[in-house]
Amino acid sequence: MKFIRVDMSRQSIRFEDVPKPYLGLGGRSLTSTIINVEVPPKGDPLGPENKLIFAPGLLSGTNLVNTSRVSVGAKSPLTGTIKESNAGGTIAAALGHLGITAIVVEGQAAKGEMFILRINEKGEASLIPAKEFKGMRTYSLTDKLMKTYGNRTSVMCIGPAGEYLMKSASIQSSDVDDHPCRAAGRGGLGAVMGSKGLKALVVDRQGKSPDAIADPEAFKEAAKIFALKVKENPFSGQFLPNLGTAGLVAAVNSMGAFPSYNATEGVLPGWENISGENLTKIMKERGGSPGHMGCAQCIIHCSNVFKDKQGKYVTSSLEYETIWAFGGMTGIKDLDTIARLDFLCDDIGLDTMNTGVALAVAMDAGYKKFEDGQAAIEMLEEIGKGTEMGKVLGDGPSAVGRRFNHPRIPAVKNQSIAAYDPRAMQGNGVTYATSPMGADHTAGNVIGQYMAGKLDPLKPGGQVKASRNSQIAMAAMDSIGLCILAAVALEAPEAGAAFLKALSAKLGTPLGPDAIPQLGVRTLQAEREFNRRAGFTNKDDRLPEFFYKEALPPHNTVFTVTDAEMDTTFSF
Amino acid sequence: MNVTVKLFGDLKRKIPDYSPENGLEMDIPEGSKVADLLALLGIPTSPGTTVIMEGRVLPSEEKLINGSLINLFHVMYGG
Repeated sequence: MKFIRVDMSRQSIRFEDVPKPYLGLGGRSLTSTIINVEVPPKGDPLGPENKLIFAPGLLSGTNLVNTSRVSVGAKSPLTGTIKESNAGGTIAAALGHLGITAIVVEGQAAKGEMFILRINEKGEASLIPAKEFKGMRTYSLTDKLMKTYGNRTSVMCIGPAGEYLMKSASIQSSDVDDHPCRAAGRGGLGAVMGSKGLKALVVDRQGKSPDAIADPEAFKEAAKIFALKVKENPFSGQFLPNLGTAGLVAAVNSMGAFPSYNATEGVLPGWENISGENLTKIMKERGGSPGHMGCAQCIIHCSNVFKDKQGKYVTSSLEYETIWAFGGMTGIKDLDTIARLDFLCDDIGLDTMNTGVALAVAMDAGYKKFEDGQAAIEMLEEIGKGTEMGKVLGDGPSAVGRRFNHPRIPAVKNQSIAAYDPRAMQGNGVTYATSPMGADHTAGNVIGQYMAGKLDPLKPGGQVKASRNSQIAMAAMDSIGLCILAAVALEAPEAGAAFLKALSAKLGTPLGPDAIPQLGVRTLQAEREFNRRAGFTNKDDRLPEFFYKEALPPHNTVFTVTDAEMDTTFSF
Repeated sequence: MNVTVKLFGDLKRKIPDYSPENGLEMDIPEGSKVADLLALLGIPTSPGTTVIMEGRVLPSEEKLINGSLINLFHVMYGG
């Protein structure tokens, strides 16, 4: 249990025991608590006073399945709020194997300086000058780093977008094949990394000094039961390995909630072309891989490898939200183009959602035509080159809306919505509006409630409660380091009990059933407190006006949850 | 009455020779409910099957409409 504090201003590194107030925290609960305590809420997100924190989940690095999730936290240059951006890949497990609880990157390197932070298999850390990597895109960079440090290495890095300090800049994370295709995409944290002069974090995966498990036998037994339940669950055990998250394209279109043509339609005509079913078919025909393992410790294998017609690698981990952002929102119904756009985002270091929606706003404003795949590729290349227009597009949908004086901007606190329209899935609208992160589906997705018939997605009743419960659960999962897709198995009582037992065995404290929601509540409270001190009030927790006024076909509904109801979301 | 049924995800494996393009053209008794349709197909109502008609998730006791398109899914939890 140790922190590594890296002062980029002095290029100094200090190890410290986890300070007492932070004990028992991990992942998002840790990043958000540190930010709330140590970062000035009104400070410049791109200034030396901001801190960039990498924290594996509480169970990352253990044998519990699907726990290689890393939280990256900072004050966001996109939203101005606290931010936790969560990524898969291999680095969370690697940090866990080294007993590293958090890496806290502070200060700022002198302008023009650039470094790599390297942590070797003994857990020793060093800052290595890296000016030669300036401007490099993530695939070339990761390839070079793997050649230098060996392929038993995890990389988190930024591309040109992070160096340009763009507000949609991501931090890319290497997968089990050493492709930088997983992303801490949301909130522009790549720009925070760029502002610090940190190009990459490189961690050896062969560490053998994990934190001790208090009761290893009990942990082992509980972990075995939990893994069985993840395999038994139809969604995590069968659906995702076959179709990946792209399987949602058909379902959300069928429910009329797939925001299309910049959220003017709820069904994309011809969505079948970009469905999970078609994606799997194409991958199989071309020798690609559906059901691909992307993250360490994963037994679900929701990832994929997409190849072109000649069988050449295009991209990995082509996900539902990306297919929506570049497909539904722009009207592009061609998976080859969408896969290319996904690769470009990973390579330039961009959040696919914020970028896809930025392109859609530009198209809606008349800058380019909807459905024009070539124009979309050219716009991404503009971002990669950092041209004047590229910088506007790379700052996300709100910047594009301002540039063209275009009012239809599907974003909350400047962060784009995700692939569920709030007018046809009202609870997801509550989450977009109220999450301390800005519009964010992973902060509290309610779709499972709708598909199980437990809640009517079109009516306001029950939506705040559903969003609240989901936001609490997700804040806890992001802290423990469990993948959202494995967390669905927790619905089975035996899985929930085993998971709680594993966490208790790890921490050496018997935990009651309330312990997990309490962790979520505590995390949300810290985040809300930071945002309040940064100047945010309930009045900021609203959707853009057009969601209240423009009816969405085919249901022709608007968002109807009242402000007063939304203001009770965090009444705990 | 006639309905067209489309199966998504793993559900299509329940029906041999299922054509994703055409779906299933089914002739079912007047007044059939969601539960009746699922029974005919051998698909359990719970846990975890979602039946969508005209954009709405239907409860198992809801009556089906002649000529409608019905999409069947496993319950999904987000991506």
